[in-house]
Amino acid sequence: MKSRQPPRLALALLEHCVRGNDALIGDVLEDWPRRSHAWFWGQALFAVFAQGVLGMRTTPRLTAERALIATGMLALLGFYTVVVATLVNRVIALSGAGLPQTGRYQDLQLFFIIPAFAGAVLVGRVIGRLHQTHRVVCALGCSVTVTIAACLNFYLFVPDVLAQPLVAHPATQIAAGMIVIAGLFIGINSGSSCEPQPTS
Amino acid sequence: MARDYLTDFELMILLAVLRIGDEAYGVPIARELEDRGGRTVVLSAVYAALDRLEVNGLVSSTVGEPTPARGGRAKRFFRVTAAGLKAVRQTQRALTQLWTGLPQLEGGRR
Repeated sequence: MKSRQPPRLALALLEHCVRGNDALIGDVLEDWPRRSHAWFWGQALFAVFAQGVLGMRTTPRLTAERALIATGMLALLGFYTVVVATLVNRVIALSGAGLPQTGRYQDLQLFFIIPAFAGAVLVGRVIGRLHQTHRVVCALGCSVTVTIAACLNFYLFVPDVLAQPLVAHPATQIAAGMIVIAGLFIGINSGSSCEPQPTS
Repeated sequence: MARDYLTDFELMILLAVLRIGDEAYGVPIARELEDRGGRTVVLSAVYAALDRLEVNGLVSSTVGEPTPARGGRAKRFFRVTAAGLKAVRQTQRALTQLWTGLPQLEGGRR
């Protein structure tokens, strides 16, 4: 009777991040016709999260290394957000141009959390798969991803970000940034640890 | 080191697998837990627990044939091993001993 399709992004997330567990993906697809979109998203996100946690348990040293890199990235991001924002303010003041209007979609920030998290997981997954062979590219990829996410967040959701000395609603912005970084981190972890393990 | 006790979720999963029998794979196990256990479960949590139980030798699994309804993916069937059955009995005994002689729990009173 029903011919509806599961949410494509959630399915892609599930297929890319839980590749080693076909039975789980099959079960989610089999049970899906009697469930809702929210259920499918919940299954996909929890599976990705569980995969990341499993990776942390099985490879604690690698996880500690990545946690250190993530913390460094966060500190670096905070530092150059302040520096870049200050420089941009100066340039705008010197050029005499008006400030661009930011924060047009302020009320919609919550709705972008899940897509942003899913996107970060997918990017992290790619980075995780490449990181053994292209470490420098991956470090740059992480940095660029976080920077783009931060800039988009400020431009779309924070009103008058360039006109104020402090960012509005800092707790919300930090939480949004942490969700993106957590997605990236989980994606990196699952990307390099969810390949099928050889059975002994 | 393998643990010698079961968590409540692991116990419920083992009971569900025993109840379902030969057709015990992810979906019926999750439904059994929802219908009889009265709790909402996510399939990946069920698999994480089943993987743990398999590592500890309490369940064994076999892979079935792929089916179109599952996007061409095979089912993974689970069975409780003799060690799993023993662990369930031990847990039942321990819980029964803890249960008995508690006046607060007698006669359906609070």
